[in-house]
Amino acid sequence: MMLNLFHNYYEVAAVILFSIGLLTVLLQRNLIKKIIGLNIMDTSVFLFLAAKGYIAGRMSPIIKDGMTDASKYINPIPSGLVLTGIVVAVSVTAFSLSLTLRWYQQYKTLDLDGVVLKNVWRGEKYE
Amino acid sequence: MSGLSEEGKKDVKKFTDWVNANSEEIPPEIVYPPKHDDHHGHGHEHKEIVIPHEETLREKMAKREHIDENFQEEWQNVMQKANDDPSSPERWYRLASSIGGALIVLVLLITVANLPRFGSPDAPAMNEVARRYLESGLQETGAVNSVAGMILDYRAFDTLGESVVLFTATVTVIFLLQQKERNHNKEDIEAVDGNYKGIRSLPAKVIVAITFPFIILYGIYIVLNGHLSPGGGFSGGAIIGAGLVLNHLVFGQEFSEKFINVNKCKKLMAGGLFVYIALKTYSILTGANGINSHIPLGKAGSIFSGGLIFPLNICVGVVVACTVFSLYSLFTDWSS
Amino acid sequence: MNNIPFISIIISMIASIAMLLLGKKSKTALTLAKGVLLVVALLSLLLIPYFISTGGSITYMLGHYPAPWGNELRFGLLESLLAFVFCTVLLLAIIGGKNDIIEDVQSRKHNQYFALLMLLLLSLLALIYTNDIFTAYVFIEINTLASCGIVMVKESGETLRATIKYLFMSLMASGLFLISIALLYSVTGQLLIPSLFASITNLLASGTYRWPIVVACTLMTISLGVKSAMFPFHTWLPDAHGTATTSSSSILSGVVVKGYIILLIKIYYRVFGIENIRQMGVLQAVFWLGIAGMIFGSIFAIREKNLKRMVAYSSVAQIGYIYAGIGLGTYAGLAAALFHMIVHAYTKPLLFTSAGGLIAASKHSKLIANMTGAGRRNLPAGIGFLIGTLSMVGVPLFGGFASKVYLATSASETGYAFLIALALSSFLNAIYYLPVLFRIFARSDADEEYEKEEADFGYVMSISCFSIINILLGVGGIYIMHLLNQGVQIL
Repeated sequence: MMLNLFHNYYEVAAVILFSIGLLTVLLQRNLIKKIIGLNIMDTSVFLFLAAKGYIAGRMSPIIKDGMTDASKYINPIPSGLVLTGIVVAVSVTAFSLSLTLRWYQQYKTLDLDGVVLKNVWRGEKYE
Repeated sequence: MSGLSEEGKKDVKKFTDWVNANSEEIPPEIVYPPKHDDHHGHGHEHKEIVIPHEETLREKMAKREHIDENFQEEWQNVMQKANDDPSSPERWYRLASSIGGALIVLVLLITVANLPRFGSPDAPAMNEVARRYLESGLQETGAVNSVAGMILDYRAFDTLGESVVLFTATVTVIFLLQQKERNHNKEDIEAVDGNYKGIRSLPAKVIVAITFPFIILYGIYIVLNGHLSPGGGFSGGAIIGAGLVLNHLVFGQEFSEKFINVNKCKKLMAGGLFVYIALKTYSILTGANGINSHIPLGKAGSIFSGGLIFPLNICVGVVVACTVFSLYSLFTDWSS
Repeated sequence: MNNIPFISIIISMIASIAMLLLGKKSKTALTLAKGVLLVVALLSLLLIPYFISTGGSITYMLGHYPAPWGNELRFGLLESLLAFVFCTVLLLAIIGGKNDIIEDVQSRKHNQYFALLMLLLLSLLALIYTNDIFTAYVFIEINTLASCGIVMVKESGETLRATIKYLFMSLMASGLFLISIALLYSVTGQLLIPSLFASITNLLASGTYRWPIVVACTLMTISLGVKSAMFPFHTWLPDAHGTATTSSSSILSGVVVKGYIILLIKIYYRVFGIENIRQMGVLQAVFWLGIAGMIFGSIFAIREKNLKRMVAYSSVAQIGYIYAGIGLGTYAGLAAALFHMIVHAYTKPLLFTSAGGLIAASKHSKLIANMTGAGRRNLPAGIGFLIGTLSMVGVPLFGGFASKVYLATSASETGYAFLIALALSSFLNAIYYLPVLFRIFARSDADEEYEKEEADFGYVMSISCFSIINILLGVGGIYIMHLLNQGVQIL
């Protein structure tokens, strides 16, 4: 079983990256760093999927010279899933960045909790 | 605030008092424009109001940022103290998250050890589904690129959803960041000081002027050949969008908006999505109700082949390019 | 008949695109949104008698290729009933929250708000109908973006904070969902739900790849649990539901959260199989988390001084009921949980809509302490809050009572923990709802200070529709239960 870990080194890297991303989101206070963490998480899943689609010694799934033999090509499905995932990640990043921009513009801080004091400073009440 | 212990709250209180004591240093807001009766009726009043106003705003921001730096520092200290405080809930949260993260790593590593081997040809993922995409894909969809055949024909509903995700993101970003609809006549653009003017470097301008058409051409090539070679609407659209962004970066807003602006992007995107939905509705409705679709697949390998995949790739390309450019331009408009 | 679900999804898609192009014509956008919701609701209503008479379900091929190569939709009695419920809740929430939309959202952005609502509608419909787990992922993302979008429309500091919190938690959950799909795909090679079921059953029977399947199931539960505010992951809910504009709060609590729960039910029953889930121990965990949610949600609500946040915390408790019902793992428990879900889908928007009215009648203060006499100043809101409260506490003749009775009867065989938690939670509900009720109907000395607002027709209609449906569910709930029992059998 442990031997399998050495063979699956792509997946091991993906899984470790996933946790790094998750912990970045959980532990960082800075919103931009949190967004970077989310992107690391998503990208690691893409690495995982791409690794799962790969078959040693085969070609990319673009039919060459009309040769429609499945044993010549790698699995096309994970590539499609990664494509979808990338688009989703881009959209989500755009949305969270724009929210961060608005937040910064309003409170001049990238920290979600720092604003409590900021409001005190400006004499506003924070509910 | 709730994440602090009693000690931490005391620190925060102390800090708040400090801020209150220091806040008198902020100069009272200066009201601009100053009322100079002499300048009225000279025809220059527009500019003379705008420029000093801008300057004082910047001054004010500079002063505020100076205080903000102090604020950040003090805040860091307070939070650091709160974190070092052994009874602070904040500390427990961090401890719990770290343990959770370690646990997830462990669980996932054990999972990976149990998964089929990397690169093995008899992995369960390479089953009859993938095999049919490869073996009959060329015949059934007419696309040489199996991935394009899969995402735009076999699993087209997913891809439709994907384009709608992009659309949703654009709607939310437009909601958050679009300021009032600007008038696009020349005087207004010149009057706004925050307008991005591009960079001054001549070499950059020359290089971009030469490469820009090729970038766009390359993007279009990738979109059009999506069913024949690697790429397709998404990658090609991203290249076109990046080309437009480069153009905007180097030549500035005024020049760039001669080609395209957010409102045009919005319309193009809606148009692209609408055509996409119409084509896909046709093929899904005919497919689901057992009617043969009358779209010729064409000769495999030629540019006009692959049935609906060719027009769908173009629609996706338009949508992606417009999204990339409109996101960029909304962000820069807001920041400037 | 077959084409109805697909056409409903496409109609809402086209409507959302059209709304973005409308520009400043917010009246047109509102009318269009109402029209689309009405059409989709009626179309789903058409499906219900069809499925009652024929039974069974329809598998709808999206395109020319059969499963497992193409995408599919699958729908039966349960799905069409839920689609109808969701559309009506959305419709009534928009009608009832119209005044607050005008107040909270900038007028040039109204059409974008309605476009987001249409996107929410289409993603919910797709989540209900889909038969493919990756399609579900894509539409979960649309749902996340659109629901965060309708929280942020107020653009105030506290809504931005709530949205950012909600967005980050949801996105972490999406990441977990995607990696669990990747795990399942790598051991089965399938994405379509029936093929996944066949493949997983085989694998579990032969004992190969057991661990990845268990991990995938756990991660999916956590991920959808975060998105649907299951107890320990509920921290985003009071912020998001408590600060958004009235119609958004109603929609989020009444519909969005339920969409994820339905997807989770589908995953349990149709991807993994409920017996397998029980063997993995996930089902028991869901049950106990549900119980914990029932009690802790109510306790948190007692401490709350802000009316909308209190109502939001009560959602945590109600979601606990639903999860506990699912956690029983029986068809009777599932049907009762679904019935509770429907009752809650009509009650919580009623409470939020009337809370909006009460807040408007007390100078826009959200604090309960400032609401003395608000129910007398805005009578429709007061009566709506009364009915919603009575239903939540579980007074006979109201929907909440019926659903609690069904939950209790379905749980009676499996031990007393559920019954005790149910009784305790109802008692706690009464503790925090009744004082508010007394306060809003109390005579206040300062009544003359407030100007009396004319309640408009849409608001009164929305409140009365919600109330009537609630009482109908309380009186005639047995018919709905009958339908649900029939529906869960073919899940």
